[in-house]
Parts: sequence; structure tokens; C-alpha cells
Amino acid sequence: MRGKLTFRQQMKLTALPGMLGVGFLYLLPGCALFYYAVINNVFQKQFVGPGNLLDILSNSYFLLALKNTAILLSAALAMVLLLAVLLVLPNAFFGWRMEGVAIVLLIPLFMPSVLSVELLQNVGGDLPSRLQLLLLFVWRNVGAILLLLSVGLARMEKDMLEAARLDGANRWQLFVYMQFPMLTLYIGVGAVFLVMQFFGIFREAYLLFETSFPPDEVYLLQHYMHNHFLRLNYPYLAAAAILFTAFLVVVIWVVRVLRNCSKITCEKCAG
Amino acid sequence: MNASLLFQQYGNSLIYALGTAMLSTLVAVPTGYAMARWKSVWMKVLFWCCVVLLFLPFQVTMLPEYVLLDFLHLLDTRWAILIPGMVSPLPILILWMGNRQVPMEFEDAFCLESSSLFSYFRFILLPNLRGVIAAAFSICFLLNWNLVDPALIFLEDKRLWPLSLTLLEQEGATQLYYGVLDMIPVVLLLGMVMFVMYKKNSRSKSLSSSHFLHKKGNLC
Repeated sequence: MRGKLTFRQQMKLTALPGMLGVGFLYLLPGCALFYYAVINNVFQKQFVGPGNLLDILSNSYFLLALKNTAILLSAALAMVLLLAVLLVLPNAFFGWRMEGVAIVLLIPLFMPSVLSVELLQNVGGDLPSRLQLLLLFVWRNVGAILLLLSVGLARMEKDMLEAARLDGANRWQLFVYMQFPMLTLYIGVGAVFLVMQFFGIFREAYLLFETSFPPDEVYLLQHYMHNHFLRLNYPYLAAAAILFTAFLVVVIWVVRVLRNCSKITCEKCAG
Repeated sequence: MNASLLFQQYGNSLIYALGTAMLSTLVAVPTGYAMARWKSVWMKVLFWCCVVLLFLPFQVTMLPEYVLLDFLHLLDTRWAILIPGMVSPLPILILWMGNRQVPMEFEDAFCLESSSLFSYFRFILLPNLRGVIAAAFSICFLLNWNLVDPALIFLEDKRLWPLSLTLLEQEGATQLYYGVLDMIPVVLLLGMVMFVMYKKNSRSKSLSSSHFLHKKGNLC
């Protein structure tokens, strides 16, 4: 057996492609962000410490972008999830699976962004810009969430629902007290997907307003960073990127802690 | 725009979408397996890196990627799209979830017979994860087919642009024509998914009916 790797050693080696990839493509070049964040500009390269971070935190455009991102993200999440829950009701109430409808609704997600933007401009070109962007987001993403919720409903144990029905629960009670609580896991996964999609909304916004300088009410953090990149203002872009990543890490950490706490509470209750 | 440029850009779209989907799935298969099986701090770090990267918009990773591609002299080449797309957090996390569903007993039983991980992948793991791998590949393909942001930043030469970016410059009937062309692979892929789902449903229905008949026969 000498010279031959054991199964466990070979298993550890399978981690190499991912570790090298993440290390060389993201973490190592990511160090550049810390360098650019502490210099004054790309030509003089003078050390300014946390000056850039403080500058952007008092910059009116950064604050506007932050406010718009928060408003649009919460509105987009609420609209898509609400619509998807409404669309899944026929499935929950009458057992109409509507897989075809979900697949058809999924097409906008994968159709060329330019075409979906053109269609929206033909239908609702006069609407306020914030509503246009939200409608585009809802239209493109509701199919995926509907499909996810339909899968969630299909995976539920039918015996439990049947037992509740025999005990006299009506369809509404079944949905509110049994199916919806069991769907929350899928709604959570859907929310994660939507947040991911929302951070990629720059593409649609760019196509919709045909510029990276859209009206003030739809000026997002992505626009802020993109425009600083085009102006070669890397220090501000790097500072904004670091702030964004730090905020995201904190949010993920808080969600994880809350989840662990709720798990411990559930276990205590069960105990 | 002339027809040869159009077909070149159509080819670019295919290269970017198929290339990134294939490369990222190839990286994700072993990485997802390691993340699901190897309990170590390294894997925890890798997992959380993937989770954070999943949410980061392109605009955050744009500068580091630009610096790297500039250092490697790969800006304005097809590799500028393929290399950053090679390691994608989404297929890694999909494969991680898929690997967690494969029972540990399979691995334990296999280890009694052989110590070759390659054989384990070939005969046990990959056949079991076929559906998950296909899902990861399809999702990557579809997400990369509609590529705009990285192409806008990393590619100046129009001959290297994907069709999704060229569509921006077209108007009226030409745009619609290009849009329809652009939709063909998407419709084909979604059609394939629907066909596979239909076949799976009909197979499970026929299996359950044969199971019912079998049970009925036993009862008789």
C-alpha cells in the first residue's frame, strides 16, 4: 500500500479545484480591493487610510444608492413572494399542479434581457421608473418562485393533510395552519434566490434606461460602483465594494445566528 | 451588421454559455463532494466563501477580476469570460446539496471493495448525481447565455461580443429577429427539461400502477 493514496486522502484532494479556484480567482485578486481602498487615486497612489471609506459614507450619491437599493430590494422581494403565493393557491386548494404554467412563466427569466425590456417599454413605458424596474423584476422571477413553491407542495406528506381533513379542517385552514408553515422553508430559499437575482438587476436597469446614469429614484449601488469604475475612480469603487461585502457578511452571520437560536429553542421545546 | 459577424457573435454566445457551464460543473463535481464529506475548517471556509460570493453583484468582483485578467493579459479575449466563470459558487452549492443526499453507506460499502476514488465517482456517485449535475449545468448555461455585464467591461472587440450584448445596438425588426435567434437554445433546453420531467412522471406512474397490479396479484 506504500505510495498509494488512501480513499480519505483522495477525497481531500477533490477539494483542490474549488479551493484553488476560489483562492486564485476571488480571494487573491480581492486583496487588490484593500490596496485601492486606502490610496487617493490610481495615478498618485498616496496612502489615505480610511479616508475613502469615510468619504463615500458622507457622499450623497452613495447614500441615495443605498436607500434606493434597500427600498427596491424589499419591495421586489415582497411583490414576487406575494404573487407566487397567490399563484400557488389553486395548487394548494384544488391540487391543480400547473407545471406547464410555471415553465411558461419561467421563460422570461431566460429570455434575452433586451427583449423583455422592449416588451415592458411597449406595455408600460409611461409608468414611473421605479415601478418599471419592479415590474420587470417581478415578471422575470415569479416563475422560478412559483416552480419552487409547487415543488414544496408536491413534497408534503399527503397523509397528514388527509388526517386533518378527516378531523374537519376546511381548505383555508389546511393552507393557513399546515401548508403555509411547511412552505416557509421554500419561501426562504426563494428569498435567497431573489436577493441573488436583485443584485444582478444592473443589467436590466442598464438596458431599460439605456445608460448607467438612470433617474435618481432607481440609482442603485451597482450603478454607483459601475460609474466609478468607468471614471477610473478605483479607490471609491474598492471602498464601496468592501463596505458592501462587509454588510453582506454581517447579514449572513446574523441570519445564521438567528437560525441556530431558533433551532435550539425548537429542540428545547421538543425536549 | 453583416451575417458573418452575426454568426460569429452567436458562436461566441454558445462558447461562453457552454464553456462556463461545462467548466464550472467540472469544478463543482469534486468540490461539492469534498464539501459534503470532508469535515474540516477549510471546507467551512470554502462553503462560506461560496455563500458570500453567491450574493455579491458583478460590480463588487469586477475590479479584482479586471486586475487579474489585466495581469494575465487576457482582457479582450474569450478567456476573460471563461476564466472567471470557471469557478461559480452556484453549481458548487447545488452539488454540495446533491452530495448530502447520497447515503454515506454507499461510500462505506464501496471502501470495503476498493480504495479508488475515481471508480467510486464513476460507478456510484456520478450515476446517482446525474440529475443534479444536469440541473447545475442547465442553470449555468441559461444564466450565462444572457451575458451582458462582464462582456461590457472585459471585451472591447465586437467580434468577441455575445449576441445578448449586440442585441442592445439593434432596433425594430432586426432586434426582434436577433432576439428570436437568441431564444432558440433557451427554448430547446427548457423543452428538453419538460420532456425529461414528462418521461419521469409517466415512468413513475407506470411503475406505481405495475406495483399496484403486483400487490393486487399477491392479494389474489
